[in-house]
Amino acid sequence: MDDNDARSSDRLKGLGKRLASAQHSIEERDGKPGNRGSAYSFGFRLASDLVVGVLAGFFIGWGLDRWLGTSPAFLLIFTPLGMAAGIVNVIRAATSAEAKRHLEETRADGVPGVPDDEDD
Amino acid sequence: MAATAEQSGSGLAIDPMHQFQVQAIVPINIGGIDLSFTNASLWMVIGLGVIALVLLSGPSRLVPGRLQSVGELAYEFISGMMRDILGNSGRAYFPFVFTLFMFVLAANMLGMVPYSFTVTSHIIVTFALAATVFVGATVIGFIKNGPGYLRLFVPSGVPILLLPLLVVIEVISYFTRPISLSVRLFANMMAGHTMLKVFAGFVVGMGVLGGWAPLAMMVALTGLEILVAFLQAYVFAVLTCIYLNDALNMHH
Repeated sequence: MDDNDARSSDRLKGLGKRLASAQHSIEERDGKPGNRGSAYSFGFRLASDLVVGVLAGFFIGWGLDRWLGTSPAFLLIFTPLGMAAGIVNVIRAATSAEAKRHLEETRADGVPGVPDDEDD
Repeated sequence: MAATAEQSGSGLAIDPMHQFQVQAIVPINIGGIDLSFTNASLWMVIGLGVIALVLLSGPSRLVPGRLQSVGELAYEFISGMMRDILGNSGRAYFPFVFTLFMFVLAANMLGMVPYSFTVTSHIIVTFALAATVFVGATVIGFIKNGPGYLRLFVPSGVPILLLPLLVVIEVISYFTRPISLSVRLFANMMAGHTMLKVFAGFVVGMGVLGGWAPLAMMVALTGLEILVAFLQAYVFAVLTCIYLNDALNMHH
């Protein structure tokens, strides 16, 4: 009797797990159109943030040098600063995206921070 | 895009950049300033016309027709996105973000029509849009927070020695916003359309026997470009909301 109970509760648990994963895959299919596309656009966003940071630093330095006739002092100062700004932008965007993903995951599973990559 | 066919009578004499040329249709010159009605202006007007057609077509019914469904879908899509990012404080800015999204989307999608002109493939157009967003968000930030908006540039929990350096980096990062916003849209549209044209050139250049491979590639690329056209409009709207969010709900 006891054994039977344990087994059925095990099966219930398994069923719950399968239901959750099915629900998850349905949500993935229907809820977020163009998931791969948004990954593409997110990647492009990060790349352009980085490149634009470097370019902006370069042109700020170059412009200041031209204006003040101090070539290449400001160029050398602002290009690394621009790189740093680009990296800050990328880190910030990635962190907020990661936080959002984490939030969605915990909301979907009810269990915080459990990766559910077993079935996919 | 299909214009390649007539230009390339002799081998591969194709200019993939020809499609981006701005040509005056009605030359207007007032006080030495060129205000001509160009093909770019024409396609902006067509874009507005398409948006008006989708959003204002007939009386709104309880059971929506096709065009009305499209309009409602777009409305709900953007309003949901704004609720996610801005919360309830962003309701007032919905008309602005929705207009931006619809305009960019219409311009991108109309660019996929053969022989059309892609307005958003010109950086001055995308930069004008991005600069509006940037200046607007900055002004709103100062109105809502007063001089306290400058705290955006001061990261918290940083040793005092590093602070000046980090403030400079934050300021640069703030000013790269309109640049990256405009460059992203412009580069995507321009690169995609150039690529389509180059492949179209291959189709013509390789003739009946070899042209099928690039033709198949073009079909796939056209699908990709339509996806990109939609995604870039969406990304533009999302980033506008993120910048507005910095201005409205300041807490770092």
